[in-house]
Amino acid sequence: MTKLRFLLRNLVFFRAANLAVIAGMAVATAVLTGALMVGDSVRGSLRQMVQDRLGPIDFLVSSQQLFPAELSGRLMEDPSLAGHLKHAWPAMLLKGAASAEGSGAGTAGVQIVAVGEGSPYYVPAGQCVINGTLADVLGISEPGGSLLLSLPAADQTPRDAILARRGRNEVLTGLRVKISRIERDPGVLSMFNLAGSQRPTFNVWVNLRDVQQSMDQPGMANLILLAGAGRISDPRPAMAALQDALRLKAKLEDFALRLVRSVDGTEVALVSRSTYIVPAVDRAAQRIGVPQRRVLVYLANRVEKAGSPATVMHYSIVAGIDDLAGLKLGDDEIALNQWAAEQLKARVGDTIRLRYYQRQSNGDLAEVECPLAFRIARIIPMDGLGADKTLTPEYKGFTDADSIADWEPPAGVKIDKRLVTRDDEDYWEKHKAAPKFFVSLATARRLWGNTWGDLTSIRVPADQAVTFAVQLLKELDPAAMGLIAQPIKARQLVAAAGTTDFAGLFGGFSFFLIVAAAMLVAMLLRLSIEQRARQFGLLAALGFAPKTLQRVALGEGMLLAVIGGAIGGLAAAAYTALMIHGLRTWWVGAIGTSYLQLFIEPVTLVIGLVASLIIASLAITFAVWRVSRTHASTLLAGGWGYAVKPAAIARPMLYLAILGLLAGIASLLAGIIRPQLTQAAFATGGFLLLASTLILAIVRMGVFSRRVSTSIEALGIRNASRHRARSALTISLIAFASFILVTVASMRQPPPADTHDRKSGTGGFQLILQADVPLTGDLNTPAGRDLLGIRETESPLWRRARFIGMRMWAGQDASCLNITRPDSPTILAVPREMVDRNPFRAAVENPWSLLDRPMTRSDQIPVIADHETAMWILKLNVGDSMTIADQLGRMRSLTLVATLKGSIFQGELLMSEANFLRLFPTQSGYGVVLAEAPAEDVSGLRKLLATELADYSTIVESTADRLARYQEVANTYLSTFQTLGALGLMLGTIGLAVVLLRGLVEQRPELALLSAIGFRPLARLRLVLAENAFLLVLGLLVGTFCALVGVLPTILSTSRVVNLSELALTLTAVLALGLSVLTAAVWIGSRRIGPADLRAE
Amino acid sequence: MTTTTARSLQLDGVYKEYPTPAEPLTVLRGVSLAMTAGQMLAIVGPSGSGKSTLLNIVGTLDRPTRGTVRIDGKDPFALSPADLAGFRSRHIGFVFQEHHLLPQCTAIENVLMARLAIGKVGRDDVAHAERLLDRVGLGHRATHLPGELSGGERQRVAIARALLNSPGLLLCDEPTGNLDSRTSRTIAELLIEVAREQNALLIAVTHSQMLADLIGRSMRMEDGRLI
Repeated sequence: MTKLRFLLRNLVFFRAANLAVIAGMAVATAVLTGALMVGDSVRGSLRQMVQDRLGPIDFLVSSQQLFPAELSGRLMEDPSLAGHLKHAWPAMLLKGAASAEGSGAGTAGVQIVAVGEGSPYYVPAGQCVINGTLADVLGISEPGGSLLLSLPAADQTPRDAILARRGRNEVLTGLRVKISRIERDPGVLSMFNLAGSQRPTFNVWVNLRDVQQSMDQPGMANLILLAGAGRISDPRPAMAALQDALRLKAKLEDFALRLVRSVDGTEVALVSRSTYIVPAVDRAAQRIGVPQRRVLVYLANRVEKAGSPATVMHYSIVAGIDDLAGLKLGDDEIALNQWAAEQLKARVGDTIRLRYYQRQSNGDLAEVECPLAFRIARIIPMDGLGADKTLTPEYKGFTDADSIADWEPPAGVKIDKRLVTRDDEDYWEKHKAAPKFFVSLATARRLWGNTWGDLTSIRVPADQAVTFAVQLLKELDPAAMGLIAQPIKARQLVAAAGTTDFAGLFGGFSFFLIVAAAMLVAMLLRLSIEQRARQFGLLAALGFAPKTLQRVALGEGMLLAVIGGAIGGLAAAAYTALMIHGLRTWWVGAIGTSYLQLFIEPVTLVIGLVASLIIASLAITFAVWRVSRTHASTLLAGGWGYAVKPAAIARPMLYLAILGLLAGIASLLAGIIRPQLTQAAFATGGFLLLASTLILAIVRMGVFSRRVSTSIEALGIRNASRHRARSALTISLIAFASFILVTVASMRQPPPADTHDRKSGTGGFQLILQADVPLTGDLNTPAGRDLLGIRETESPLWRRARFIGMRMWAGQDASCLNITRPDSPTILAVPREMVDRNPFRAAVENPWSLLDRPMTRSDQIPVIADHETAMWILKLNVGDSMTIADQLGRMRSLTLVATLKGSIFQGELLMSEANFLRLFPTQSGYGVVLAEAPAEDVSGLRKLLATELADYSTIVESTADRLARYQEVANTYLSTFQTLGALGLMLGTIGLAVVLLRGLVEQRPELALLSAIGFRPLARLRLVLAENAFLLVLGLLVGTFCALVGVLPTILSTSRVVNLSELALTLTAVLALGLSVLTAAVWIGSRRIGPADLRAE
Repeated sequence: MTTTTARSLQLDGVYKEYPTPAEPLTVLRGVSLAMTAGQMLAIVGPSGSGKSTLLNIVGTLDRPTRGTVRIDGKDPFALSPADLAGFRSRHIGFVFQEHHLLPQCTAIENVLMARLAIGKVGRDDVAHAERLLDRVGLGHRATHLPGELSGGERQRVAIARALLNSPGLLLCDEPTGNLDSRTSRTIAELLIEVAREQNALLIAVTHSQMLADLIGRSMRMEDGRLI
């Protein structure tokens, strides 16, 4: 005979009770471990998504500008890449719109991937492959039909430049392809996206040549997809080799640069396909020891000799130049070529005035008078720089025209050809766009410089051109030129770790299930020990030391916990599978994808088991603590101790409860009086109220034991004070659970009541438009609408609405709709008008004014984010910073200066327009437009915008809908919590019934006595039921009442409402289930009470 | 197994009070008693007179509110709880009215519980337990569970258990209370026999005049006093 054998003997003998404890432990383990495994499954699914989405693609090289597709071949010729990369496939990645020919069903936000031969995803010319998501939204069930794609046209010149092509037909192009396949299986074709979000995308795969042709950009690409040679565990070596290879193999064409010989052959000009030489090239050139001449040209609409209004010239090129054949012009000096001087009858010393187009902040062009009046410093002959058309970069539609009359100016640029004279045409015939006027480069930069570039050419002596070109390539950093390499797969795998801790989230959701199960374990174990009081008394009498007795009891409990835990560990997989199923179906609003699979990590299983055992040990310790503290004689008599003197503990607890109650009420009042304290007031006041009320209820339960009971129900209620600890535990669990359920129900956010309220989450805007092809015209002006190709430009809806356009850098969605971790969020530029209007609610008076304030460090850029985004997704507090790469691959530190409350900008960061243009200089046009319109116009305006701007791949939604989409995520989480919380509450009530059933064993003699003195079975049932139902009802009432009072400040100060009917339904269901289960338990437990039971008494 | 004989038992002015919401309930009022090894005493009295309370205090299952208890000259209540449990196991044997056998253990295992309380059970202990069961006439029922024994048989097992550690003090609380008259006599005679064999000091609380007569010496408990 050993203590272990005795322990095992006990386990088997009292198996009925022990099985219930094991079941409780199994439930607690299954739920806790299952919750942890939900986190594993979500992370595992996201990782699997990355593998499926990218397939063999490990790296990519991308650029905002087009580059020759054959760069991919040159890269692979570099021997240093041999061990790292296996394939390089040139491609074009664009965002556009798609519609099904025939049905006309269309959608925006379509990802168009154009690949060439050699790629495993090659699509023959004229065809396309679409994914299932796109097919479904277009209502296409089988291949064969045609798809119409609207794509952005390529114009390398920044669209904010004066002569940029901005009209509808100039920014958009189309492509018609036949659908050869609909790909639904998980894989690259169906899931490819570089942003890494888990939400499904609309994918179309087309032939690269088709797109090149459509865009009139033969041989060009904007993306190279690279497959690694084997499995890449650490991308850094391959990345270093790739970046080195890019430096080594890049040519000037890859950076949109080329060399052009001057007319007289003495110089070679470095020019750009995008018209402007970017600052990075300028800086690199300055480091080269070759003489250089820098030029910036501009079109002057009108040049006039001051004092002679009749002597004017129209549409002449003015060149800013740093060295005019040895002459350095002063800031207010101008030189003319001979031809211009004769036309203007001008001499040295005369004054010249200019008028030219200038781009306004809303994108419109306005003709302005130059603030400077220039003094003629020199007249140069018609040779060399005086008649060199190569000083002006090539511009399609201008420089290639045979005559000025043949000019094809971009939409919005008004060229009045009636002003062009015969002499002008003669000049054009001989010299094309050779500049007639010259100012200093510094002056030209001041007047016409931009963030995307303030040079149009750099000229070097012809005999040093090759040296210059070779050295320039060495100096240029591909990333600074926008040719950026990245380890896309490694990046997305990091992001797949996610920003939401689903393990913690589901642990929180399942909290009540776990607590209910743990409390069930504690109560059952305690009951079992209570019923074995005499045994423990005997063992004490035989000489078992109190600590030894406690160890025996603990040992039994822990052994049951281990057995239950092992079973629970197996059941955890089932619980996880159920949660995953829920996330794929009922709660799909939280994650937005049904691509979730079960992933089981052994380590998590062990952690869950250990955690469950720790919880169990706490519960078991609670259950057995009295074993070592009760006298053996009391145990032998079958009891556990005398009633605690009421005065000893009850009075201090009473005072504490009253104090807590008063403090709680004060806190709630504070929340009503000061709305900014609402959340804190609820948290403190509600909790104090609950705790105090519970203490009061438990302490005052004793009052029943002193009253004379005059009814069966009253007698039953009185019995509740007999096992005070058990009763207190039961009431507390039920009260706490119902408190949380009611509180959570109040947290559901309704959509904003008034979208015209500027301080609401909509900012006073009713519609938000997002365009993949940025809008180059201002919707507020007829000219802007003309530019956008809007047909119904005179509709009164335009006049009654107000639009605010925001430039957009398309990055990753930083809202709760994206569960991966964004490291490069979408950024919006805040125009001046927003600062003046000051919409949305923030903790500071005008957060927008902080965007232009100087920061402590010069490299910090202030940004604003929505509060939810900052807190939960980016994990930033005000004052914190995050680093992103700008358009040119430079790392920038974004510092959060303010947050908005519950706004429509939950997916983006906001920065000032000036800072935006510094980081993303060529990002012109509006990617987001906010619209404010009278309520009666909103529906019509939405339709008008969607119809007129469909080709720009636009999504027009109401701001209320956008907010609802964000709120849906939070509300879905709340629903999940409520469901699992209600389950926990139900488990608690079932637990109460099980405990009751077990307790009836000890009550049998009592019930037998009642039977002997004439109590009928129904009366005995009422007696026992009254005791337990009292606990259930009291717990529900206390919890519900305290919660309703606690949420009062929130309801009064915000627009939130409690869905009382849903809540009432849940609580009624819990009550009904509880009473049913209790009744069944009482009926089962009190059957066949007979004389034998009386003898035991 | 070494016989540890408690040579003496001394109670001086023992009081026992229990707190109630009104005023304390005094169950023992200044009980004094002195006994030596081999002596036996039956304590009789009406229900609620404090007999069992006195027995519990003598058996160190409960503490007196006032007064002293000395067993073999030592105050057991000065020991730590663990030492007191060990003292109880070695010096005191209990026989209860309810026998309090563990239903999940066999007869011999119930007897061996007394040894398990203070250490490991060795082969000698098992042999000793078997001898004791033989002594009480249940050698052939050693492996039976209490549910398979009659009331008298269970009480015999309890007696064997009480004697396992050869205690010097044998305390019996209504040992024949639940038995029929014939079995009661058998058990009573057995108790006295084994007590004499062990030269143990026997105190029995009983309503049974037959047991009290067999013991020979009795005192009456009335209103908390031993007279």
